[in-house]
Amino acid sequence: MANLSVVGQSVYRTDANPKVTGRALHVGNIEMPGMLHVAVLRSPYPHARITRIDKAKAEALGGVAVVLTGAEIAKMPGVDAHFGPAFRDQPMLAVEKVCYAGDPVVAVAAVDKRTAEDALQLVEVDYEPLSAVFDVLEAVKPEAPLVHEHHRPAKAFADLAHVKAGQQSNICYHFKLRTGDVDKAFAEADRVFEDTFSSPPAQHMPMEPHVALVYLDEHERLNVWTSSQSPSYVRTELSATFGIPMNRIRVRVPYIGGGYGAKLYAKLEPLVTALALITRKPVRYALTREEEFLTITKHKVVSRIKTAIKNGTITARKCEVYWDTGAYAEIGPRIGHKSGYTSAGPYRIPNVWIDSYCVYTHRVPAGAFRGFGVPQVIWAYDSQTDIIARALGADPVEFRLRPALDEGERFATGTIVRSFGVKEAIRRAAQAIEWSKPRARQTGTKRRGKGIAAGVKAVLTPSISGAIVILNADGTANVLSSTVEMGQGSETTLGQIVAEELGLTVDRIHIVQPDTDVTPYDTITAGSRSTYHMGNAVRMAAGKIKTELCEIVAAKLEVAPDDLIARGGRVYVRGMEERGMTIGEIFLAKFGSLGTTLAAEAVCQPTASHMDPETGQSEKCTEYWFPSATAAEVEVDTETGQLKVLQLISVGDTGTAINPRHCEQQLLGAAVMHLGLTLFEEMVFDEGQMVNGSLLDYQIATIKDIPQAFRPIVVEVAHEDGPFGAKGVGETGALTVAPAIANAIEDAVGVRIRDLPITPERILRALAEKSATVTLKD
Amino acid sequence: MTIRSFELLQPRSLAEAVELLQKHGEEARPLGGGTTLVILMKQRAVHYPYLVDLQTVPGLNRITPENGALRIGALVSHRMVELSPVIRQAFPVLAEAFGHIGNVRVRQTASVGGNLAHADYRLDPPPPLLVLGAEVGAVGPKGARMIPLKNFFRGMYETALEPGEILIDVKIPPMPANGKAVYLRYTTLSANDWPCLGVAALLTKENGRAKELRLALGGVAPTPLLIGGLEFTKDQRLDDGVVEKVLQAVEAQISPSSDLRGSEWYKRRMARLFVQKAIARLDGDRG
Amino acid sequence: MKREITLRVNNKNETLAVDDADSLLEVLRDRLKLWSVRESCGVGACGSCTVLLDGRPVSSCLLLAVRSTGREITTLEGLGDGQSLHPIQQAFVNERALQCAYCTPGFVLSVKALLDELPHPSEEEAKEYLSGNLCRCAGYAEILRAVRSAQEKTAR
Repeated sequence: MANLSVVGQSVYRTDANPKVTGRALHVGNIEMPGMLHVAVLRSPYPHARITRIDKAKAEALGGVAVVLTGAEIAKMPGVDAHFGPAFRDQPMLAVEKVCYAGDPVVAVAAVDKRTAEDALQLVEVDYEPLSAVFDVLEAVKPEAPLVHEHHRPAKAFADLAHVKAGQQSNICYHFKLRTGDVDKAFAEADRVFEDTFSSPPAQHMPMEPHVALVYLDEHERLNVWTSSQSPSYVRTELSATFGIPMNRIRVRVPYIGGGYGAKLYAKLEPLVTALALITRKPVRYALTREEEFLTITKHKVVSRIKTAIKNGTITARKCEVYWDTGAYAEIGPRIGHKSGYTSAGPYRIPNVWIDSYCVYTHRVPAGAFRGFGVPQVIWAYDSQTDIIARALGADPVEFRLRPALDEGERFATGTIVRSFGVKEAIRRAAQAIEWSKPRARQTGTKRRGKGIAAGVKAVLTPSISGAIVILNADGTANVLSSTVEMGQGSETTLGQIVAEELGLTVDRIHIVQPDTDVTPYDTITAGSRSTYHMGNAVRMAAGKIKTELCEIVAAKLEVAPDDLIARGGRVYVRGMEERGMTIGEIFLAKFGSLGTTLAAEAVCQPTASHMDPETGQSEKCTEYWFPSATAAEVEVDTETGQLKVLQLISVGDTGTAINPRHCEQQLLGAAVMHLGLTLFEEMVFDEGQMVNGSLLDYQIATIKDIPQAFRPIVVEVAHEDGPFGAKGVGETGALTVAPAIANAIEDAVGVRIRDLPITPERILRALAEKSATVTLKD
Repeated sequence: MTIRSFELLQPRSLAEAVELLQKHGEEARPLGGGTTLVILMKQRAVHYPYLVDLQTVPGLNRITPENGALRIGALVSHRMVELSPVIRQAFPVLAEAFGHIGNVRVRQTASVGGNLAHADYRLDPPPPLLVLGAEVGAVGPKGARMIPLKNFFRGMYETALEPGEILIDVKIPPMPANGKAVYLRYTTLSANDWPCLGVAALLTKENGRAKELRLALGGVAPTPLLIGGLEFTKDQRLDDGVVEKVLQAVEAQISPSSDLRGSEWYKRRMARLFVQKAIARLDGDRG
Repeated sequence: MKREITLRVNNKNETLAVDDADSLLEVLRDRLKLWSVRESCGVGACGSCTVLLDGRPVSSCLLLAVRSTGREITTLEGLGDGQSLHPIQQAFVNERALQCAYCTPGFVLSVKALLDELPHPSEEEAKEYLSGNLCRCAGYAEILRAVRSAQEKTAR
């Protein structure tokens, strides 16, 4: 970008020093006098009535402050025992019945963790098991056991305001999209393709487990330190749940050790708040890794996708998407909606029919996971797009480029797309993997293949980000923002934006960590929304200060404010650098005193148009899109089914890259995370019981799993309303990895895998089915 | 989770260790490297009021040559075996097998004795130790004895050690003259994971013919398994026909269960494949 | 059972009363306030709790404090001279090999142990040695570059 001094530069992270020395503050390092530690007894049954809890022996153990049950929480005056962002369905501790194996039942707060865990072993709980449902396709049937008798909407967010109460069903949300006439198109089609795809439940696995510390300060205000991606939401939720005014709750979030969506909305905070209110002592609860497996997961999804082809073109697509949201909905309905409406792909398809169901089962709750459900829907549609291309004898790249939407065309929701670099992403991916190079003839037991996949995600809209920028008289600045630095580099990016706007260097900007006493409302740090929304908010706020600085200088120098620029810690006349004032001089001119400040506030609040609940049509469903493409080259060992990923290229349209190297890192990091998910991550349940609930059995990608050739390509299709044209990048690399790999496997050995993870056994079984003797034709 | 409070007893001699275990019976357990037992106690899956620390007993952490044989003390770490020049020279297959366990930190801490006493069916060391004809040395209230490793694994997590007996070392006889051994480890998830299965083979040849073939597999039965009935290979060339008979013997003796790393169907196919690979690797001069 | 032990941590003798059941991790964090040592998986698989024991990497979550006497224990706080970053830390910063950085202390110590044992590791050797250190932000490519960069600085 022309004439920018710090935006567009790959500056080093501003948080590098505390992080590389280990001095970074994490919630787990905060200790307070008299602090109590928490242990939680969890249900061994997936669905059961609690018939008896005997906690006398536990309460009598020395060092135990309280042993709390759900029934007791339900009796606390003014307290709602249930919380949740879409439905108030999740109890702090189970009340009367448990809904999944792992559901918290009893909480102990004691002087140390060992005492709390010892006390837990003294608690006796009797259960009466009830029939349960574990499979999402079974759960939608009318005869399935109900997870919840009633659904109580939470009314926390604008985009979920339409969520309804009631219903005797495990389907808690049904998104519908209808355009054109799919039945007619199927009747008139040359060919119809029908496939079912599945993605399993998986773990976010932030290296820092969830942790929350709650205490009452000198005013008896509730103070919360939490490893959370949504401090503003936590304050709102605690206020609503406990009936405490918002300004008597303070939520602070320091650096957190990863989130990826696991640390959104409320998790431990309500329970720890209850314990702190009862004991009147600071209370800290940190989950063990085994408890992480029992707290939040990535949605299992089963997708049925039916596509009509006429004259070699896609004329219709019908999608039936089932989201297994587990025992508590968490943000499942929003995922069912927002990812649901992208289920047909970034393509020009005149007839589309989508049913996207968010379904309760008696399993660990599922929630937002990097990609927000879009990886699962792209797994389905872009695998099928490839199946179709090959069946028609068309080149898979060309087959995608032809119907891929151009700027100004309408998405399946009726929204006109802007800043939509899908075609460029596909082209760059194909080019990077040398797609057009003729494939060498292959012999032997190892076969190579190449695959491409493409897709888009839409940013959560509407949403809100507010910020305050305070410029100090010495030309340094403080930025008050509730965006959470969880490794993605938001602190640095926001610093760059403010620095650019005020003509300062990044080291002069201090980003204050989220503190709801002073940092304004921000919806969430997730969904790749912060660079755009908070970036805009800080830019606008800084812009207001710059305007004021220019007005002061203009008056002093008798020039027009428009002739002035802010650069290098000064404000001066464009083209006449010597005619200007330093920031210090400006402040002195205005205030006459040292140490003064100028503050400004701004809010970025993009809106969405109403979406018709029957047709899913909206003039504007999203503020911006994240086009993604992945190219992969794999080698399949046909004797074992083992897969080696030789090349992986992750392409994303990020809009303007505020920090290009950080954008590349995000693409690569998300790609490796999803490579692990594609090849071996799966939470295995047996009748609702976790089978592989620890790192002895659940594997994630290691340093050995990086492909030999592995690179990112940042495509910058500027967004006219983004800060300096930026959009976002956190999830883009995640979106298209799985189908790219599956498409490459089909290219290599002619088998199609429709269920994740793609294990060697799945490949070998597919090969064995294809040919009884597993011989390969050259 | 935290471990429930217990008392760590630190004996200064093997006799004292045996005495302490006898004294406390079911309430005590020996502690070697401590990885497996510590994890179980952290998960509160088991609890022992007394742990008898074997690290304080002198002499258990040495690798000692003994007339061509080798004794590896029970408290020798996996990492020591992996890096030991003596073992790399005399039994390279062992250094390799121990080098694959877990990760470098676990290998630094976990002990040879603890590994074998755990008796998990997927462990890496047992198959190569079985084909090498290893014996386990145990000391207990009734005195000292050697237990051939092939008789050591009784069932899933069950060994031939009697109550109060401590595994003190592993004795490996010298390799047969002209013998070569290999250990192939196959993982289906992450590389540092438990294996789907492991195959160890030891082949002694003379004039292009097999003199003796030994095979052991891990991960395909309730215990690590030494394959019996391979005497028919004596004086045979290991051609396709003979190898097929070997594979049939293997098929008949393994009883894999489906687990997270592979179904029974898959493990049977991989057992065949990797036994073939192991033989092919050792029988280098096949036409 | 409670007893008094002396641990040698970062070149200092620390005498304290511990329970036999206390892990080294618990003592280093909760008692000695060495916050760079972190629990993440509890089973020795992730490397976040890595400390050096006589220069070799171990999972402190699996070691009992009472069994860790008489050894030199090094945490990230003990690396470098307290004034400037150790070359390995600097390499991590320069190569942008950290994001949320929860795994970083474990990685830095493991890289130190790697380069002490193998001053010129090949990429395969480095990957093998670090295969037990997990990073979910998945900055592995950058971490390998940091190893190479540190290797050049420390191998003299």
